[in-house]
Amino acid sequence: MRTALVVGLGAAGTFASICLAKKGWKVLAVGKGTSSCAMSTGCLDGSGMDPECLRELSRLFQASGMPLVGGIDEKRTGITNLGTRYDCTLSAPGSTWVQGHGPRSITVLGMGKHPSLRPNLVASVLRSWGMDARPQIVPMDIPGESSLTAAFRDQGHLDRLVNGIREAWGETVLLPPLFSLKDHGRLDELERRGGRRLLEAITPLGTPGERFHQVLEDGAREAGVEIWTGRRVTALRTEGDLITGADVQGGLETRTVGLDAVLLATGGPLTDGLLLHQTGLDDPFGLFLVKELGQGPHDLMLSGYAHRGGRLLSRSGTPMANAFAAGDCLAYSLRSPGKGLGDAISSAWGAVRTMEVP
Amino acid sequence: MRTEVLVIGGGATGAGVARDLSLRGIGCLLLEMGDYCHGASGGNHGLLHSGGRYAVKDPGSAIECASENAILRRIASFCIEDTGGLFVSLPCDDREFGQRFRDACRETGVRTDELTIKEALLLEPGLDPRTRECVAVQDGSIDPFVLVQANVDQARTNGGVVHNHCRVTGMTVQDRLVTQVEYLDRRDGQKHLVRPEVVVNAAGSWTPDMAAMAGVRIDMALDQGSMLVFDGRLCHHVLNRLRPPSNGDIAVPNHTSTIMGTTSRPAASYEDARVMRSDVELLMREANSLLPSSSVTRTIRTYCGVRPLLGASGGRDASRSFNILNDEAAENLLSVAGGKLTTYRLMAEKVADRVCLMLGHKGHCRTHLEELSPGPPSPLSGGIGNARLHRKHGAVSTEMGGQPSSVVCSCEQVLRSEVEHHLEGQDVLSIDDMMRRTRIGMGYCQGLDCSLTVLDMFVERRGVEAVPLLEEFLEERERGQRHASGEQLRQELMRWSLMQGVYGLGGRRR
Amino acid sequence: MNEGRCIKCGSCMRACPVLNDPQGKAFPGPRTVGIDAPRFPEALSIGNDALMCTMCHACEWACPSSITITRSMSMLRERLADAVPSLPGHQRMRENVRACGRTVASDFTDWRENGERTLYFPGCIGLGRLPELVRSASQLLSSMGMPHDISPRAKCCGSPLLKVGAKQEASSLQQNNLEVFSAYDSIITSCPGCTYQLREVYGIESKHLVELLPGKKYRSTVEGRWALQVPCHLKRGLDPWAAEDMAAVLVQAGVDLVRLPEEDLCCGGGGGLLSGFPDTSASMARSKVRIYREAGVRGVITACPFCALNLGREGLLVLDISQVLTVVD
Repeated sequence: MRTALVVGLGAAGTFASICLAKKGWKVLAVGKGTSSCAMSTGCLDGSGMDPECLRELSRLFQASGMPLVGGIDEKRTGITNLGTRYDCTLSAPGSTWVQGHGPRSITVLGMGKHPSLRPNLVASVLRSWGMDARPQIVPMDIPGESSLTAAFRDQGHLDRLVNGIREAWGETVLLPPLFSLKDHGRLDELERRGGRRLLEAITPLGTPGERFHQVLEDGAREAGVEIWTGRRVTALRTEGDLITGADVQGGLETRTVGLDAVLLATGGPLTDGLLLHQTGLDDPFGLFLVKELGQGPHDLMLSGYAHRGGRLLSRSGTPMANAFAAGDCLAYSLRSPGKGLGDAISSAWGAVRTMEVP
Repeated sequence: MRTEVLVIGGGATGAGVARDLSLRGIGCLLLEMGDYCHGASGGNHGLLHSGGRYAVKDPGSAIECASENAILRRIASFCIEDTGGLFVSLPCDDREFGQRFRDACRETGVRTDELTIKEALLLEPGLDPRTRECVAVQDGSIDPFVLVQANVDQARTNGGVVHNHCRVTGMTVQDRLVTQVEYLDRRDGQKHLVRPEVVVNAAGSWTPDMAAMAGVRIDMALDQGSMLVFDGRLCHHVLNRLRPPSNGDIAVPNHTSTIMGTTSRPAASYEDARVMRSDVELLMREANSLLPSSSVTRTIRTYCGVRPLLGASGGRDASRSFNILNDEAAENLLSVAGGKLTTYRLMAEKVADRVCLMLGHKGHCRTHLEELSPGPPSPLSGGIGNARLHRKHGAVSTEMGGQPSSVVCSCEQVLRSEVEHHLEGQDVLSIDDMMRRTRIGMGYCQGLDCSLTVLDMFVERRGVEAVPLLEEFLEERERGQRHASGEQLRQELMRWSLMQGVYGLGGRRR
Repeated sequence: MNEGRCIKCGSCMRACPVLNDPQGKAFPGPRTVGIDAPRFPEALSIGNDALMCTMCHACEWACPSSITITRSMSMLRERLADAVPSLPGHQRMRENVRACGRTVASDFTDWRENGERTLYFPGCIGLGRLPELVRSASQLLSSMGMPHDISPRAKCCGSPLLKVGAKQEASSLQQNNLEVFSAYDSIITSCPGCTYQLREVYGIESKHLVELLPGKKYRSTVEGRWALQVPCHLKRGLDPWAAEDMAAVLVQAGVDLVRLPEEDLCCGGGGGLLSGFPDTSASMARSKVRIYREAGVRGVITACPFCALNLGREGLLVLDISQVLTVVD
């Protein structure tokens, strides 16, 4: 059995691990820190995605109990927790609508003073792009730094919320994300009891991204991927132009693992996948070619590992035999804001296909 | 509307004049086109000069600085961090300058104390161990926003009327007197008229523009200076290079950062001034020499200020002393230009004396005697936010105490109550107005975290258009990120991913 | 010193178990204490609320910039200890150390001073509150073929004192212990806090019992379904592999072990929280116990006396790993 070392536990790394495991590879996935995926909105722009890839992704979400809604090209819209419009093609249920079938009147519901959704601000922004919106607050005492998912496991909070929804003006109520992955089904129950259409605000740096990440993580465990969190690959060992092993450091100990192939899904400079020196990007392993497209932040987004369909190149430009990469750490010729998650999944799929080619 | 004195310009000079006049019982109206400190007062080094820097090349300025330094420490203590200053030389510096420096300081009354290298390194462990000489002076770190606001507040308390966001658009001159001034108030978009007896033109870089409205020609050379801001306080004292004055000589610890400056190059106009990459590279090099740890320290921002220097030529050699101009084409128009933040009070005093002469008023200056914002310092417990109040708001801080947990800006530990207080007044129209008064958005994340919370508070209190207000602020913060590198570039990537990627703000810029 | 890497993603704040606890509202949070506060001249105004932290390293593990937040918080705690009066609970702990050399008084009597080359160092909580744990560990070590001493002259490792900034006391304890240790070739611990202190602060070789377990065959001495309480200071502070090794050994021994995603969530006992903020500590323990009850396990297996004590106080059956294994020849 071939062994693959996947470096990085974000969307690209975890999805690639699942695909590899299903193709019969023995997969060890190593990562550290919160991934960009867990910080994302959990919604994807799937345009251009291979339908097979989407099928695999959908299967994972189906298995988790929180199926994805949308399609490769289905234009969907949601509302961010600032009140701006958010376009994508795939999302968790309850947070987006098919364009043209959106809400006409929205109540923005805040949970006490919790900053997850600020009703006055969001209603004001909604009105500025033509939505009929009003703010409302459900009286609750939840401290600003604590998570809503813990608070809303409490029946008392839920009941109070239902009352708030029942009193809401308008046919749609916009809520902050309230439920973890396993509790996500309660949104339907809430809708039934509350008597309004419910919409979960598109929220970065919070629950939706964490849910997305958890679906992938659970899928990886199910597929038999060995996952090492809180560890980092500090070096890749080479013999000639083949990568033969990796040094994995965790706490005070470093262990060496052997591998037949390595897939880097380390994220860009945000997650230290690529080293940022003043304004230049570099490969932390010192082995692979990095393509730099400029110096401003959005040029940095486009910069990353040079690759051929996910196959990495050596510093001198020759394609590597057994080193691959996917996700934010790759160089892109075109990347628009908000496309990160879709690109991560697609590139992971592509890299796994490339890995299968001898 | 009539007024005895119209003051144009809400920088240190204008605010200082308004304060001086109102303490003498003279009615005045101050108009500032942007927010206070719009010009040079908002783009300087934040240095309370001991005078040491000018002792050799500009002794007149040095004498003024030395004496005003002592006065400001007395009357504006809460605006000032009493860091003290050190002049240090490195092996590559001109060996002879040290003696000239000491002689010149003695002659101009700038107090110096000698330190051994061992003492210097004990006081400032961040210094290069190869530092050769060290002379201690009375430099300090002063917050110009707090200082100017305190002058504005005291002017108001004593009957002065002060408006920001009011731009002078025209003047009527009859019989060689300015009889009417027209201005546009951004708040209502309306033009207003005022009939002043005397006009003080303290408009900094815009002094010639204002004077031209009255048919008076003033020659001014604009000189821009760039500054590089490091995250964290890299030194306890103001650090000066003991060498003939040049670029990148000074590091000033200021609140939670260290400001490295400065440079000098001609600027065509205030709008044209921008920080060049070569400025940043120079400041970085000089910072690394003075404070080696700066090479691994995050830089959070660059900015530049435009120095309005009188005369056709400017540059480093032009005198930093000030001038009061009066032309017979408009006999009741006094234009004042030049000077330094440290000597603002003296400039204002001289202007106010001239105004009194013109009005036949017998009042004497009291600005060196009256304290700005006298009041108790904030308690040192109850969280960092509460402990910082006095340093930012002086006596008004007693109205602003809040729960330690109500911090809205984590980088600067700004309390919700501070933002609420400033939303109540007339002065704050934008998020960056709020920034100057509370320091939200001035920390290392440059508003990433706090701008949404503050925006929410604006919407709640004022019902304003949220997205334009936010975009205006983000654009303002981005101006200081043009040369972001290293960790700050990562921060910008984060900001871009959130603001543009998720919220769709900002559109396609650059 | 890499706090300058912060990009304000808030991951540390979301990961902090104290902030997520209803009794943790007064804690300023890891980003404030570890990254923002130290930049201010008025840093120490943050006061003792900054100590409401178990040093569980969850923030460090969540940080995408790999900032050593826990270490930075430690440094602020040291500065605070010099400037601000100690919390009452911490005062009491220091008094105990002064009186008897341990953070809690103990009436342990099964000492062994047989001139062995290995020393078993149970730690103050074990000796003072969980003598069963100490006896099981000692028995297990013997049956693993590791004869050992348990010395009354080895005092508190000093870690809790260092956590509250009592550097002097920690230092004199270290001096005393190093002398006692000099008679031994190896030191074995039951408490990850002690292990970290000995390795990182004393700079000597020491092994936590869990690190010695792999390589032998065991049989479980317990029935029913169990979950793990993976000690923070073991997994995130010392050795991420230790949790996997623990699980492997238990499964091999025949324990019906269920792996829960929250198994490494802090119990609320560390970092001086137990003595300094007992309400918060108990509340965190209750939340953890609720998770185990919902999972329907009989009890929980751990490798840290603080976890055992704090969770045990909330009525959960908690056993040290040494109490559930016997060696198979």
